[in-house]
Amino acid sequence: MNPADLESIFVQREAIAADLVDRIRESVLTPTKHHSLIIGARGMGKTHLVSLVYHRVQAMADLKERILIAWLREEEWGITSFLKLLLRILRAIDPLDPAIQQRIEALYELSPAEAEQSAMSLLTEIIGDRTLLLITENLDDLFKGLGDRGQQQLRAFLQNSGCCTILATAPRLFNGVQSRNKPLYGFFRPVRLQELTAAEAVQLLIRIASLREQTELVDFLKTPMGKARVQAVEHLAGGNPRIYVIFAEFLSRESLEELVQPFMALLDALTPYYQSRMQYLSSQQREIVEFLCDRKYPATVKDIAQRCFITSQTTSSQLKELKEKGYVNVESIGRESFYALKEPLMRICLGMKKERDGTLKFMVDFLRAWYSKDELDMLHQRISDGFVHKHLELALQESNINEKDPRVAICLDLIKSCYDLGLLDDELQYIQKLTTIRGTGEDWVKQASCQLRLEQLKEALISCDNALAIEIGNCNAWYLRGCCLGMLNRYKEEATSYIQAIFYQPDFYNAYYNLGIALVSLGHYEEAISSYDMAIRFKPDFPQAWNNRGTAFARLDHYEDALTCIEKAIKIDPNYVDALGSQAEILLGMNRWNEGSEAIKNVLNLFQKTNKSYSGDAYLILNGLLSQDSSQWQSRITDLINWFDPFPTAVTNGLVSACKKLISPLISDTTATLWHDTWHELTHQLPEYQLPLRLLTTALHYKQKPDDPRVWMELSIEERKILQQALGIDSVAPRD
Amino acid sequence: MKPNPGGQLAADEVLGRDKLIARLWQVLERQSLLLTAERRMGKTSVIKKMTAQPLPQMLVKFRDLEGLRTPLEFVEAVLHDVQQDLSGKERAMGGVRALLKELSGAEVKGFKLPKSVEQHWKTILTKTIEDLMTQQDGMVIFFWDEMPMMLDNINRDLGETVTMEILTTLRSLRQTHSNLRMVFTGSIGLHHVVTQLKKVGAAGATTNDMHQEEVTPLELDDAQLLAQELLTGAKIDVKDLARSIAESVDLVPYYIHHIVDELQQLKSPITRKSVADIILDNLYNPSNRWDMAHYRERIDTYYESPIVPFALGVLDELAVTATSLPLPDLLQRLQVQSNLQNLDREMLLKVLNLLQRDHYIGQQNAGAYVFRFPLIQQYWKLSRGLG
Repeated sequence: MNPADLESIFVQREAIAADLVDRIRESVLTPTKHHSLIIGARGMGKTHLVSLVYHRVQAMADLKERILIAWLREEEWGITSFLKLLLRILRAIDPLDPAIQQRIEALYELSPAEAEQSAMSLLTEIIGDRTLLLITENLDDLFKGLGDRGQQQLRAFLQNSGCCTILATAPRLFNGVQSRNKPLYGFFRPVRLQELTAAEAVQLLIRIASLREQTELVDFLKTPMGKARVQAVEHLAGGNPRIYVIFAEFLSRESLEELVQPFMALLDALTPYYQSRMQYLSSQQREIVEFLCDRKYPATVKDIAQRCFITSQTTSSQLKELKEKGYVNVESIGRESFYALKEPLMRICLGMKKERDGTLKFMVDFLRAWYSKDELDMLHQRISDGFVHKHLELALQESNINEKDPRVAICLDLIKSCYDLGLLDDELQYIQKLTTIRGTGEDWVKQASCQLRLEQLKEALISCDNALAIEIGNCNAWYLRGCCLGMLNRYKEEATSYIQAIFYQPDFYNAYYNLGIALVSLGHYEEAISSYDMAIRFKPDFPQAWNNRGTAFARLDHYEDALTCIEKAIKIDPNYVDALGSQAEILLGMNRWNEGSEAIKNVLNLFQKTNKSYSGDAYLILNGLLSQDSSQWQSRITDLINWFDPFPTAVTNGLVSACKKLISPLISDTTATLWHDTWHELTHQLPEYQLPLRLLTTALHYKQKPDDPRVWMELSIEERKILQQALGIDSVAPRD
Repeated sequence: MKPNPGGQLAADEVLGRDKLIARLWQVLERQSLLLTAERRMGKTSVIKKMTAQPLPQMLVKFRDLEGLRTPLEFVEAVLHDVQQDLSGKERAMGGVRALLKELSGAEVKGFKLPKSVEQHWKTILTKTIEDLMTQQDGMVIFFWDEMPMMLDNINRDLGETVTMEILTTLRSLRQTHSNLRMVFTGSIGLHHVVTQLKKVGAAGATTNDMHQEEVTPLELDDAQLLAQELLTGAKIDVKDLARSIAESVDLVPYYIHHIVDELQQLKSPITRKSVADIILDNLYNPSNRWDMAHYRERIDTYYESPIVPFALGVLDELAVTATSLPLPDLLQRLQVQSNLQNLDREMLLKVLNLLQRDHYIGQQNAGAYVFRFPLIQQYWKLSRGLG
C-alpha cells in the first residue's frame, strides 16, 4: 500500500505514530537512542503502524543524510545466531551499494567467527556517523532464534556502537525483554496498541470505503443501521482492525440472502487464519481454547479446570498466557473472574468443522450478532421456510434465553445491592457491565436511569438512544430521554420524547405529568393543563399533577381555578409542602393578604426547619400584585422582602418572570414605570437584587421602545438571554 | 526530555550523577574501580557519561563485554579498541604485531586473531597494553561493562582456571602500568563468579587492589528534577507529581523514566493515584515489566542450596519488620523457626554479607539491617504471603 493510502486509513494511533517518529528523529539527530517495542495481538495493526512510521521518517529530508534504515521482513525465519542477524541487517539496508553487496557475499567464504567480526566491522563502516534504524517485526521470534548468546552479542553491539535505534513489534511482552536474567531486560520501551472502539471502527471503515470510492458505504456507515452493523462486527471481531477491514464489504448488504453466502465464504477464508493461530499454542492452551469455543458464555477458572481435567493452578497460569497472547479476555464481576475468547469470530470459525446435525451453530451466532431482536422477528416472519428460516428461529430462541449467561445474574444481584446501599457509582459500573454482556433495551434504560441520578445527562441521553436503537417502542427509554432533555433545558425535544412515550404507553401518567412541566417551560399553559388532566385521569390521586395544574391556571391569571386544584392536591397529601407554598402564593396573588401572609410564613418556616431551599418562586404573588392597587405596592413588596429574607432568590426569580406581564398591553407605561421605581427604591441597596433590577429596567425600556435594539445594549449577552427567555421573545441581534 | 526507559541516554540527559562521577574520577586518580549496583540502577549510563566527558590528558575506552565467550575474543576486543587510538602513530603496536607474526608465522592484519595463537592470549594482551601504555603519556582507563557476565560465560565454557587467569593477568597489568586503570561493572556480582572459583581453590585476591563503589539511587532533589524534566517532556502537568514519582520508586532513575512513560500512555486523566496504580501493577502483576519475581528466583540460582533457607528467612523477617533489626535480634527471631534452628551467628553473617552485596539489604548507622529498597520490601512481603 502506498504511503498516502496508509495515512488515509490510519485511525486512533496518531499520537503513538507521532511519538515514535519523534523518538526516531531524536535518535538520529542526537546521541540519545530509543528502542521501542510495539505490542499488539495479531491483526491489531502493528505492521500498518510500522509502515506508516517508516514512510514518515523516510520522507524527512533533513534526516536523509543521517539515517540508514534496515527493515527486516515480517517472517524472518532462520536467524539462529548474531552472525545471521548481522547478515540480514546488511541485506535489508536500503539502498545497498553493489560494492557492499559484493563484500557481503565475500563474508560467506569466511569461518563463522571471522564472518561475524567482519560483518560487524562492515556494518559499522556502512553506518559511519549515521544512525541505523532497525525495524524488526516479531521480536520475540527473533530473540528465540538468537538465544542467550546472540542476545548478549546484540546488547554488546548496541552498547558499543551507540548508533542504532530499534523499532520492533511483538504480539506480547516476552521473557527476552521482561526477565532480569536476560541481556536485553528493560531495553525496550513497550507501546501497547489498544483495540478499536466501535466509534473508531466506524472511522476506519469510512476511510477504507472512501479510499475505495464506495460512497454508498460511507453514507450507510453514518446511519443508525450502519452503526449497529459495526457494533455487531465489534462483537464478532473483538476490536481487531484486520477483521474490521475484512468485514467492510459486508456491512451494507441488507438482504439476508445477499449476506449468508458471502459470509460463509468469508468463514472458509478465515478458518486457516484461526487454525494457524492455534498452532502457536501449547496442547493445554489449545484444549482451553477449544473448551471456550464450545461454550457459549464466559467461564470461570473452576469451570474450565473441571471440564479440561487440569488443576485450577495450571488453568490459571495457562489462561494468563492466553490472555497475554491475545486469545482470551478476562472480566471481573464482583469477586468472580470470567474468561472468554477474545474474538467470537474465532469460535465461529473453529466451530464450523464440528457441525453435525444439519444446523450451523456459527450461523445462529452470526445472526444473533448481526440483527437486533426486532429485526430477527421481522425476518423470521418474512422468510417462512428453508435453511435460513430454521436458523432465524434458533437465533430468536437463543436471544430469549440470555439469562443463562452466569454473569447476568451476578450483575443483577450486584446492581440491586448497590442500589439498596445508595452506591451510585458502583451501581453504574455493574449496569455498564450488564449492558456490555447482555445489552437489552431494558439494560440500557437501567443505565440511563442511573446516569440521570448521577446527573451525567449527556451520557444518559446516549444510553436512551441505545435503548431505542434496540427497541424503538421502549416507553421508559423515551421517558428518561425526556427527563435528560428537560434537565438540559431542551424543552421542545423534551416534550416530543414524552409524546413518544405516551404513544407507546397511552396510560403513562408520569409522562403526561412531565409533558405538562415541559409545556409550562415552553409557556404553553393551556396545553400543559390538558396534559395534567390526562395524568390525573389515569392517576386521580396524583397530588403533584393537581398542584402543577393549579399553578398553570395561575399563570393564565385563573386564580380561582388554580386554588381549587391546589386544595385537591393538599387534600390528597396534607403534608405536601410544595402545594402549601402554591396555595399561599395564590392567596397572596389574589390579594387575600392576611390569609396568605400567615400561610406563606408557615410554609417558609417548614422549609427553613428542614434546611431545604424554597421550591417555588414569588411569581404568582407578583403577577397578582402587578394587577392590584399600586398604592399598596410599597408595603406589600416590603412584606415580601422580609418574609423571603432566607430565600431571596424566590423573589428575584419571580420579579424577572413577572416582566412578561409588565410588557403586556394590559399594563400601562405609567403603571410599569411605577412598578419599576418602587422596586428600585426598596431594593437598590440589596446586592442580590442588582441583576433583577437591571433586567427590570431593560424590560421597561423595551416596553417603551420595542423596536429600538439599543435597549438590549444595556445588558451583557448572558443577561440579555435571561431576559429574552423570561419575556418569551426571540433573541434580538444588536445592530452595529 | 522524553522518557526513555531502557534506551541509551545522551551524556547531558544523565541527571543527578555529577557528584558520583566526580568522586569516581578522584578514585581513578589512584586506583582501578569495581562499580556495582542492582540491575537498571544506571551503571552503564554513568560510565558512558564518563567516557563521553573524560578529564584532560586521559584516554578512555568503553566496551560491553557481555557477548564475549573466550579469552581470545576478549583480547581481540582490547586490540580493536587500542588499534583505534594508535593507528597512525609511529611504531604504534609494533610490539604486538611482531609478536603475532612470530606466533602465527604470518602477518596478522586487522584485529581478528588466528585460532593458532589462542593459547598465547595472555602474552598478546600484555603486549597490546604495553604498546598502548608506551604511546600514552596520560592515564588510560578501560571501562569494561558486564565484565562478570563475560567471566561467567568463560567459566561455564572453559572452566574456572581460564577465568582465574584472566583476572590475574588483568591484575598483573594494573600493577605493571601505573597509569593504567580498569573499571569493571556488571549486573551480576563479581562475587558470584569468584565464589565459584574459590571452591576449586583457585581464587586469589584478584580484585582486591580495586576500589569498590556502589551506584546508588539518586538524591531526592535530583530524582525530583529528573521526574520533572521527563514530565515536562511528556507534556504532563500535575501538581507535586514529580516528587511523588521520585519517592514512590525509591529514587531509581530507570523506574522514574518508566513511570512517566506509562503515564504518558494512559488514556485516563493523570493523578497521583495513577502513579500508585502503575507501581502496584508492576509489583503484583506476574507479567509486569519490572520482573520482581527475579528477586526471589535469583536466590535459588546464585546461592548455594544450604544457604537458601537462611537467605529466605532473613528476607522474610526483615520484610515484615517496620524498623531495622540488629544482628542479635535477627538471629533470635530466626532461630525460633523450626527449619532454621541450626543457623549460627557466623552463618548468619555470611548470609547477610551475601544479601548485602546483592543489594537486597543494607545496614543503618547503628549496624541494624533493613531492606535496601522499600519497593522490593513491599513486593517481598506480598509475594511471600507475609501480610
